Amino acid sequence: MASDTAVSIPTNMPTTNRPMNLGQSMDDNTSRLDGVAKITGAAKYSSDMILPNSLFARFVRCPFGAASLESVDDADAKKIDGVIEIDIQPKECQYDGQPVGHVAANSPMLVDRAIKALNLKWKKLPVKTQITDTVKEEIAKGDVKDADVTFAAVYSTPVQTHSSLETHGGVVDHHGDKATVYASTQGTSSVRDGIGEPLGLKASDFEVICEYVGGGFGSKLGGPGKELTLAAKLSQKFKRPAYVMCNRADEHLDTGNRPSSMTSVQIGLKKDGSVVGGEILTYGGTGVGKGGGGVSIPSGRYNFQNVNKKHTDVSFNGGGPRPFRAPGHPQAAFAEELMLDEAAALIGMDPFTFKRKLVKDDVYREMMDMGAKLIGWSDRKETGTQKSAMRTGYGIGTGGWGSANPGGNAEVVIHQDGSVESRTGTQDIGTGQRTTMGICTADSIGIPLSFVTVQIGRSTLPPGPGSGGSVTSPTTAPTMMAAAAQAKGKLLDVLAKGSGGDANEFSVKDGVVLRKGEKFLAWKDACAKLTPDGVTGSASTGDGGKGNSQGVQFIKVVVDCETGIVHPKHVIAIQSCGRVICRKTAESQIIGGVIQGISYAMFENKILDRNNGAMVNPNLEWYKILGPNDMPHIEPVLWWHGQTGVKSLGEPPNIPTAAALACAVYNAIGAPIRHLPMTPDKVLKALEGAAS
Amino acid sequence: MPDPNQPPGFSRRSFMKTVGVSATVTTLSGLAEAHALAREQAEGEALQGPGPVKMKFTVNGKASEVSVEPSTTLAEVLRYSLGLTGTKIICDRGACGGCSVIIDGKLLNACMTLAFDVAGAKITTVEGLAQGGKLDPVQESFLRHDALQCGYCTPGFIVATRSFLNDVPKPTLDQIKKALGGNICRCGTYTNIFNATLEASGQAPIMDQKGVS
Amino acid sequence: MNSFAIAQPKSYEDASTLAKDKSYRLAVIKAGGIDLLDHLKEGLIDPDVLIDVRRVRAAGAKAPIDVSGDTVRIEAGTTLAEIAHSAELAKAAPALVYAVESAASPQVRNAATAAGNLLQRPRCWYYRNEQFNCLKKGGATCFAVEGENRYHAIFGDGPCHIVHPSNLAPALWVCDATVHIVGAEQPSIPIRYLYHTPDKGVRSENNLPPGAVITHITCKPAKASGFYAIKEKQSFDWPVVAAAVALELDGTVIKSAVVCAGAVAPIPWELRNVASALRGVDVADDAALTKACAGASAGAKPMTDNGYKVKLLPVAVKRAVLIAAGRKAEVES
Repeated sequence: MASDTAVSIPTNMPTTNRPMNLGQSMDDNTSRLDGVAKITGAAKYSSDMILPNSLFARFVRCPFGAASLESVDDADAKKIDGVIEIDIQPKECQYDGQPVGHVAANSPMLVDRAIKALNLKWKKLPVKTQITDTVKEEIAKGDVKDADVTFAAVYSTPVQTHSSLETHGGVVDHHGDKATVYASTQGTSSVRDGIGEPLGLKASDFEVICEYVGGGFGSKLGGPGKELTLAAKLSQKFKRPAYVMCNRADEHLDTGNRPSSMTSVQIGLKKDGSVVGGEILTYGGTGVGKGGGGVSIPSGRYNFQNVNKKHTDVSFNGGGPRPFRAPGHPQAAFAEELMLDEAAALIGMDPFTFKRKLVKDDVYREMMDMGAKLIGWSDRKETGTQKSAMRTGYGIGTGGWGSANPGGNAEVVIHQDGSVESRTGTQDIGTGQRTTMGICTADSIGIPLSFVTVQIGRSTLPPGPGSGGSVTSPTTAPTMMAAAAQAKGKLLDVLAKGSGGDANEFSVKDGVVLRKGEKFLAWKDACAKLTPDGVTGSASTGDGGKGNSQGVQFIKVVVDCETGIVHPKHVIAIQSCGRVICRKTAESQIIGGVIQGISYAMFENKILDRNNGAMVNPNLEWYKILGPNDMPHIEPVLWWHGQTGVKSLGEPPNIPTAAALACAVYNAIGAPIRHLPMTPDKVLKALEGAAS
Repeated sequence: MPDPNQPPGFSRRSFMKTVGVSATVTTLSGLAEAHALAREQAEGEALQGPGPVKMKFTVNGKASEVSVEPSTTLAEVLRYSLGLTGTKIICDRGACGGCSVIIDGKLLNACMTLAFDVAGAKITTVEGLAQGGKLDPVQESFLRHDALQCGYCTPGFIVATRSFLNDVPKPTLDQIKKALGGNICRCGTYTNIFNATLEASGQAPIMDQKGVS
Repeated sequence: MNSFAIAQPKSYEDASTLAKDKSYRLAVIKAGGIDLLDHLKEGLIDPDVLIDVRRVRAAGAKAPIDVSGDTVRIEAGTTLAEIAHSAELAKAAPALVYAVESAASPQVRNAATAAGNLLQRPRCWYYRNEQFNCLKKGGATCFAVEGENRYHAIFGDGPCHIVHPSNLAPALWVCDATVHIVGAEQPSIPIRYLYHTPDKGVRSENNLPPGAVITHITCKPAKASGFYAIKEKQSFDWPVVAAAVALELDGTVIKSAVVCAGAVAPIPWELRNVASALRGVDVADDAALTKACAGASAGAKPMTDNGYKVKLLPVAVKRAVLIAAGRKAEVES
C-alpha cells in the first residue's frame, strides 16, 4: 500500500436523504470503518496475497454431470516449464465441477495452460438434472372438507449460486514450524479448527487471517474447505506460499448453492379469509448433497389451521447445496405469499386485507399498515382488470428470523495512552461487523468512536462466531458491550482508588471522565493513571435484550405486456432488528437483501444441460445477476420501537422480496408466474393463459 | 516523430523460447527515459514474443516497466507484476467491470486488455485516484453514502464512476444507471452508489420519504 | 492463455499477407481483442501469432467516422463507443447509434471495433465451451437441438442453430452497407452477402475469403432509421430479439422500408415480408402498424424452448419502426 494513499477522513459523515431512519440507531452518521481501505484499493483480500515465490494451483474438474475419468495423459502439461505438480486420479464423478485432482505451477497463467494441455478421456454417464427428473408434479391432497373454497397450485424455484465476487480459497504461507493462512472465509475460527491437520501444526503455531472477504452469503462457512486444505498441503510440501483460488466457472460449479424447490399446495379457505385445512408438499433439489433442501413453508407467520406438511430432498447430478442467505426461506416465502394472493383473489379479497387478517403477529400488521401508505397501495388496481400494454402491480411479502443468544468472545483493552482496542475473532464479510463492534465499544464506554481500534479477522483473537445465520451481531454486540463496560469499570476503579472516592461517583461521557456529574479528567489524562498494562475487559455472555427480526416488503412493478419484461419500480423494505447499531450499515444490509431477492426472482438460474448435465452458464455473462440498469428505487425503513437487544439483520431482508415481486407481477398482469425466474417467456405464457 | 503505426514503449528484442511469466519491475524516475524508450521502434515485421517482451507504462503517474509474455493481460500485470491488487479479477471475461481501469482517459476492462496493447499508455487504477492523502470526491461520496459492503466490486465501480463523471459531469439518475451497467455488485450496493454518484457530481441524492403520519 | 507472438503490420495489406503466411500455425487478426480474448481464455483457438491492427488506418481514412454527402464511412477500427457518441451518425444513420449504444457495456464499447463486431463468433454456450465438440467446431452434433436452446435461433433449417450476436450488422444491413476489404480478389462485399447460413458452411458465419481483412465500412445515410433490442436484463446482456429498420417516409406514411432482425437467426435476418407490409402504413395508425409487423415471425421454426422469440420479434420490429419514424417517446423502454 503506497504511503500517499494513506488518507485521514472523519468517519462521522452525516447523510440527510433518509429522514425516516434518523434517530433509530445507536449511531446515525458513522461511515464504515474499513471504507477507506476498500475505496482506495488498499484493502488486501486473501486473493490479493500474492507473495514472492508463490505456487499457484487449481482443481481439475469433471466437465459433465456424470462421467467416468478413464484415462489421464498429462505428458504435454508436464512439458510446460514452470508446472510443478500434476496429480489426477481416475474416478467416477457425479456432477459438473467435481474435482479429480489438481495442477500446481509457478503462475496462474501456467496453471491454466497446463490444465488446457491435459488430455483426459471421459466416458459420459446418464444424468438427472432437476427435481422433475425424479418427481412428477405431485398434487397435494389435504383435508379441506370444511372449506368454502379450495386452491391448489405448484410453484418452483431454480438453483441459485452464491456468486461471491471474490471466489473461494486462500493462501497458505508455511514456514515449516509456523504458518500464516489467509482465508476467504465467513468463519475465521472454523478455519483455524480445521486447517491444523493439513498444515501438520498445532493451533499455537499458525494464524488464520481474514481481514477482508469479497462476499460469502453462506457459502464460506464450516471450515477451510478443499481449496485451503490443498493450499496447506502444497505449501508444506514445497515450502513456498501456496495460492489456491477458484476461478469464476469453479465458483458456479462447486461452491454450493441455494437448492431448487418445488412446492405443491392445496389449501381450503373460508369466505372470511381463514385457512382451514390442506396439504403442502415440498421438494428440495439438493444435487449430490445430503440434505439442505428444506423449504420453510408454512413459515409460521400466517394462521394456517390443519395444514399438513411433508418435505423430500431430491438428488440429481449437480453440485450440492450450502447455506445461502436465509436457507429455505426465500423459496418458501415466494410460494406462500403468491399462494395467499391467489387464494385471496378466489374469495374476492384484497391481498392486503387478507394477509393483514391472516398474519399472526401484530408487528406485521403495523408494518403492513405503514408500508401500504409508503408504497401508495391505494393506487393499486384489482388483479386482472388492466388491459393496457404497460400494467402496474403491487405486492406484499413478509419475513421473519430468529436470533442467536449472546456468546461471541469479546475483549476490550484500554491502554495507558488512551487508545482503546476492541477485539473479537469474527470477520467482516461486508456486513459492517468491524464498524458495529467499534460503535458498541465506544457507546458502552462513553468515548468517541475515533478513540477505538477494532481488531477482527484473526484467529489469534478471542474466538468468535462465523458470519452465518445472522448470528454475528446478536452474539457479539452484547458481549462486546459487556467487555467494554467491564474495562471501563476497571478504569473507574483505578481512578476512584487514586482519588480516594467511590467508583460509582465516576462516569464517562463524550470522552470526558466525570465525577459526580462534573468534569474530572479528559480521557487521555485519566488513562495515563493506568499501569502500562492498561485494563482489559472480556466477556462471552451479555444481555440479549428484547427484540425480533421481522420484515415486510412492498413492491411496485410495471410489466411490459408486449415484451414480458418485468420492471421493478419501487421497494419499501421495512425491517426490525432489535436495537440498530449503525444506521448506514444496517440500511445497506436491507438494500442488499432486497437486491439479491429481486435478482433471484427475475434472472438467476443455474442451468444444466438436460442431456449431459454440464452447467451451460458458469459465468457472469449467462448467469444473470441484477445490474445497475435493472434497479428499482429501494427504501430501507428501520423499525425500532425501543428494543434493547441486537437481533439478526443479515438474512431476514432477503426473505420477502421475491415473494413480494411475484405478487406484484400477478396483480399487474392478472396471471401468476409460479416458476422463477420470471423471464419474459414465462410472463408471455402467463398472459396468453390469462387471455384464453 | 514516432511512427503512428508502432506503439511506443517496446524493445526490439523478442525471444523465441517460452520461458514462462517473469516480470522485472523497474520504476523509472522522470519522463525523459520513458520518452527515449518510446522513440525506439520495432523495425520491419519482427514479431514480439512469444517470450517476455519489455513493456513500459505510466501507472498512477509513475513510470514502470515489466517484462511479460504478450499473452498477459493488463489485469495480470497490475496484480502479479506491479503489486497493484486494487484492480480485481472477478469474472475474467469482461462481463462484470471489476477490473475497470482508465487508460489514456478511456474506461476499459483490464482483464480483456492485453498489457502489450497498452504499453506506453497512461493508466489509472483505483490506487491512483486519491492524491496527496486526499480522497477523490467519488471516493468520499461512496464512503459517506455507504456505497460499498464487502468492497470487492468497489474499485471497479469507483473507477467506472470517476471515468463517467469526467465525461458527463452532471448526469441524471437514468444516465448513471446506464453508465454503470457494465459493473456488477453481488452484495447489493447500487442504491447507495447512485446516491454517491449524484452527490459527487454536485447534485442531491435521491430523497427517501419523510415518514407517514 | 496459451502463448503467442504479436505482429504489428503497418497496413491492412501487410496484415492480410501475414494472415496468409503458411509458416504460422494459426495467425489471427486482433483489433479490440474482446471476442478474441474470450476465445483464447476458453481454449477455443490456439494461434501462434496475433496480427495487431489496432493502429492501422486504411488509405483514405479521414476520421473514425466520416459523413460526406451521400456516404457514411466507418473505419474498421472505429470503436463501438465512437459510433455511440457520434453526433454525425445520430443524424445520418441513427439506427447505427441505437444499435451500439446499449450493446455490451461502456468498458467493452471502448475496446470493441466495428469490423470486429461484424465478424464476432456466436455466443452459443455449446460453441463457447471447448468440452462440446459441436458442428461449428468440426464435430457431429448441434447440442442445442435436444439441449438448452432458449437463446437460440427461430429461423433457418440448421443444422447449426446459433444466432448471430451482432447488433451493428442488422443496423448496417438496413443502411445498405458495404464492407471493404483487402487481400481478396474483390475489393468489397455488400453486407447482405457477408454472411452465409449454416447449411452453406457451418465452420464459419461469414464469406470473407481466407486472409481478407476489413478496412472500412460504407453505407448510405438513413435519416429515418431505428433499432430496438429486447433484453432480459437491462444492464449488460445480449438481446433475445432485435430489429433494425430504415424507412422512407412521406409525412407519417411509410413509402418504403428495409427491416432486418438480429438475435433470431444464424445471420442477420432480413424481413422482406414485413418491409412489403409496411408500405403505405401510417405510423400514427397503431392498429395498422401492429398488423404490418405481425408477420415478422412468419416462417419461424422455433425450438423447444425459444417459442417466446416468435412473439417478441413483431414487437421489436414495431418499436424499431416507431423509433425510425422519430416517435421514440411512444416506445416504452
